Amino acid sequence: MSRASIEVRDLVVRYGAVVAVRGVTFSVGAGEHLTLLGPSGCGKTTTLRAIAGLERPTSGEIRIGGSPVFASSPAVNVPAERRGLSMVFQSYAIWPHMSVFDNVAYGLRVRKRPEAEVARRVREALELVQLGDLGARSASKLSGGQQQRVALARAFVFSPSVLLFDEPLSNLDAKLRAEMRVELKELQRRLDITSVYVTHDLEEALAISDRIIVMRDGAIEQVGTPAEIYDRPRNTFVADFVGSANLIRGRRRPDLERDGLVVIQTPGGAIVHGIALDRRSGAEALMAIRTVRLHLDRAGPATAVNAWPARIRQRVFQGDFTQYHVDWDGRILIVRSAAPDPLAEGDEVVVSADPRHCVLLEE
Amino acid sequence: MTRFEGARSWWPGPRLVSVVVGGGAAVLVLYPIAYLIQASLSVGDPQARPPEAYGLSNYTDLGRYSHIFGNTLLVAAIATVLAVVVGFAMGWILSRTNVPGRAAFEQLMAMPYYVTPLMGALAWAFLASPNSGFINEVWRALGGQGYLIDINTPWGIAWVMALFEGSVAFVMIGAVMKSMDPAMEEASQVLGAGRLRTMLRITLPLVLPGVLGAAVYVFAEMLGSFSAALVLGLPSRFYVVTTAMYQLVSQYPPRFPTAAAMGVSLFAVMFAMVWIYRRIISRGSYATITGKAFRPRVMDVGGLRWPFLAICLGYLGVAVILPVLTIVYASLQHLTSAFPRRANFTLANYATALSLDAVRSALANSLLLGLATASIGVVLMGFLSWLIYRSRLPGVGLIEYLLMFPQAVPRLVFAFGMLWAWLVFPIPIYGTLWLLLIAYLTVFLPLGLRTISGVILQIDRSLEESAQMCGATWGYRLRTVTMPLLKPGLVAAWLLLFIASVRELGASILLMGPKSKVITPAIVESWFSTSTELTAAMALLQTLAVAVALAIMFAVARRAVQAAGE
Amino acid sequence: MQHSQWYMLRKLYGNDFWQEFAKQRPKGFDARAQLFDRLAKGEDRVCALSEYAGYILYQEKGADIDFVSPADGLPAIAIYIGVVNRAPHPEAAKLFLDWALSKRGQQIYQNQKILLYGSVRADTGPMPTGKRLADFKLLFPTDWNDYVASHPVFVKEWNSIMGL
Repeated sequence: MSRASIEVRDLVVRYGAVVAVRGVTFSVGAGEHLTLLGPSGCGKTTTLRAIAGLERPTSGEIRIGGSPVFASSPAVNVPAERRGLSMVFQSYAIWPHMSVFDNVAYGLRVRKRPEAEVARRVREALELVQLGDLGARSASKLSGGQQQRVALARAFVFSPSVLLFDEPLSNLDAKLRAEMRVELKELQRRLDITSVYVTHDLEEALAISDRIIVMRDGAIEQVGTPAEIYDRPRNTFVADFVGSANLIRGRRRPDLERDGLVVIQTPGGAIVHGIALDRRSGAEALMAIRTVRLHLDRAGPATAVNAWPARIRQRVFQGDFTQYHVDWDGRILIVRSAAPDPLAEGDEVVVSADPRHCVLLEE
Repeated sequence: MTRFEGARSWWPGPRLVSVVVGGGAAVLVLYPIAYLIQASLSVGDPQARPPEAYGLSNYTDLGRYSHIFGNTLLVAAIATVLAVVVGFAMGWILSRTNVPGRAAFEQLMAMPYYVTPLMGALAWAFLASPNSGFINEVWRALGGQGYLIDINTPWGIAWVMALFEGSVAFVMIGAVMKSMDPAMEEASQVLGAGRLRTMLRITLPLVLPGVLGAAVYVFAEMLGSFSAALVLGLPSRFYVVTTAMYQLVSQYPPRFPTAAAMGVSLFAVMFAMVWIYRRIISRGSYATITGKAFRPRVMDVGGLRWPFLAICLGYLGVAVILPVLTIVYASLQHLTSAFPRRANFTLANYATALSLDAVRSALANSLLLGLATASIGVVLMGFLSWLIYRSRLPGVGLIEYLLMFPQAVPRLVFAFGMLWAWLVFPIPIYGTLWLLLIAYLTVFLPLGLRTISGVILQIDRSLEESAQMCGATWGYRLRTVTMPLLKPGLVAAWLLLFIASVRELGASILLMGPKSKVITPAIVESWFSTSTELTAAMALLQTLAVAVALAIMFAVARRAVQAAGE
Repeated sequence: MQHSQWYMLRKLYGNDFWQEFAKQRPKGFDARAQLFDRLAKGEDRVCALSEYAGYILYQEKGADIDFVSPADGLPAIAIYIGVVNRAPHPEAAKLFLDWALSKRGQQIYQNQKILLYGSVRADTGPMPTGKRLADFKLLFPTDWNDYVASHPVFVKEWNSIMGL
């Protein structure tokens, strides 16, 4: 398989008065797995479909493997069926009037491969998605999960240079989704292919991506690896969207700053140390701390940096973790803890956070 | 980097295709209308072609015929009210109550359409003519005076119109009811409202916009009604615009300009109605049309089931069973009467009908024309539907509007325009089956497009897009994905077009020529020029022939659909 | 036929005759089937334009109707056969004419059940019903030019009488 790189430059997609994508620029390296993440309406699916050739952008440029497949000037628009890409659809789009085998074999037969080769490759593909013995079955008699796998097999069987995914797991129930996530990642590794994935599900994006692009309202909010996006959100939106975070606002205290850390003082008087990365702020600054990055200990002396006294107001048991609503600094902090010893409502505690997990946000 | 090279695309360019298709549609649809308007503006010698002079005197003269316009509006209004009331009642009974045999009745509600308005009118003429109608004869035998029902009145005509042309009201209102979330009614009942109160305060207001839309649509259709008024109105000098036009054109000397002016006026009213209808439905209705069809929760109406069942059976009785039996009964007599003497029974009517070359050739022509209309129609309308709903060609909105335009024109009026337009066309197709074919294809465009586009829209776009992403070109996709998925729907559309073609009267009665007789107008001719008993026999023969043809088609279609599903 | 009826009765009874007649709101039909059907079944009481052959046909079916010849006479029209001035086969046409006027031809026209066109010849014998053409008092237009010239007037008045 030969993997291709993708370049998107200044992509604008407009439908009448509505601008779905406003000048988006990014690139995907050959063999990289990129995810477009964002809430519905942010333009991620439109961008994906523009790359696929199913939507016609208003302006911009798209290159695949270095060659332009779309450009506004000089005008180029390669039709979708000639771009050498492949796509897995949200609704799977399995053809009900064909068998599973014929569904998967479609792309190979379009390319007029000899039947012996078709049979071999289809068989291999079905094995890879663990549907090896379902080839003869009519496609209209499959469960959702099975249809999903057929859609996958159909998409990669003819060795496309790029694989596009349009929210392929969103129609599955939670448990199946979790399982498929792992399988997808494994498949990606085996196929060694470039992929662009679109989803609104945070866990999916974090699990399978090399890099994530967070989008909102047709524009890019942040680009980075999953860890970067998660631990170092750039602004309020990303901090809120990618996991749950506490936002703390305060006055900059440059007089207390050392060791490359920034310090803010809340209106309530608490001192918070955090990291700035390369972000700037004015006299006022906003910091984000992930709820799972806060620790709760039984009351004791609060002497370390970023350790404050607090009291537990409410406790919500969530199975894998317990969520505490903590009175701190005249407001509520939300803390998620997997610790087995639950603290009780009303307890006095010490809440603390590593300064590296307190991130300055751009505003 | 591998880039897959598919087959070379010979697509001639979207703009060219749009222009060609749009131009073709415009010619087909607007050409007769243009001639209609031209004829209506012809003053001076009515026989002159092209018109000697132009003027508006034909329109100003229409004041003389104001009673005809009044008649038209009257019967259309009464028929609409009847059709909507019956449609609502039947729709509610069949979708909301636990009347036994609901599923069967829903299917049977389409039967009056197959009985055809002409046969229905003939049957009710036999049943309820003031003097000789069977019902009235029975009435007098039971001691009554005079007559019980006089079918040759506006009420009688509207009754027949509602019975045989009004089933579309049931379909539309039923669809509205099915799209209403039963949870809305249940919420009302949970909060303590009784069944009647729920029906009045919740159900009725929610379905009202849909019912209103159906009423407007049905009213527009009734304006163009022809068969009932022809058979039942003429004997009492009760004209509506369509029958008046027919008379004006078939008399000697024919009065084309007056008929044309009437036709344009009727068309204007119908156009306005259709426009109102579109406004009503495009506004969307509260939140009932969510695109999902719900399974309505049926209410247990207890003992009321039996009266409701009686209503359903009664409807089928007057609309299907009674008319058919009456026609059979009449066709077996020399001179129809409710209490015939022994000697009155005869098979001579059938013998004559079968021996008449006119009947045989009319039947053969009708079946042939039906075959052609359905086959060409499906291909043509399939292509046009795909063009409008799936391609991204520029100007498809305009093309769709043009193609749906004939639904705003009464069929007879449209045929009149075609008559006038093709009369002196250099290619001599006037008086041949070709003209009828063109007329049918044009007036059935809205029907075919609606049916086929319903099927196309059910096929999710992603099914075609995924084929695209596998590298398939437009032609390959069409062949391997689109057509197989469309096949069951196309078969249904074929059958629909076939039946519509054979039963058509308004469009064919003016365009039929001596060499191109078709059966339904031939039955009307027989009504006027042979005897009513012979006409009854012919009507039954037509029904039989169509039923046999349909049965064959059904068998073939089922085989085709099964093969597609494998 | 209607033109002749209109013309002759106008001559007989005056120009106002048809206006008065119209007050009875008469109904006009395209052909004889409806006319006789309704008469036979009692829906209408009188047919003002009667075709003799049609009457016989319905009588045989058992209808309780009668053919009445008023004493003033029956308006009648002749069925014309002729040779057109640019006939492609004038000799054949003339041969047909001779046959139509011959005894044999006339008998055929006269005795055909659906025609019953009484013969103008004296030697053809009576119609199957026993009547001869001469038994009826027939009224024909005599001034042909006046008759033809009256056609547009006829069309207008007739239409308005019939309600169109």
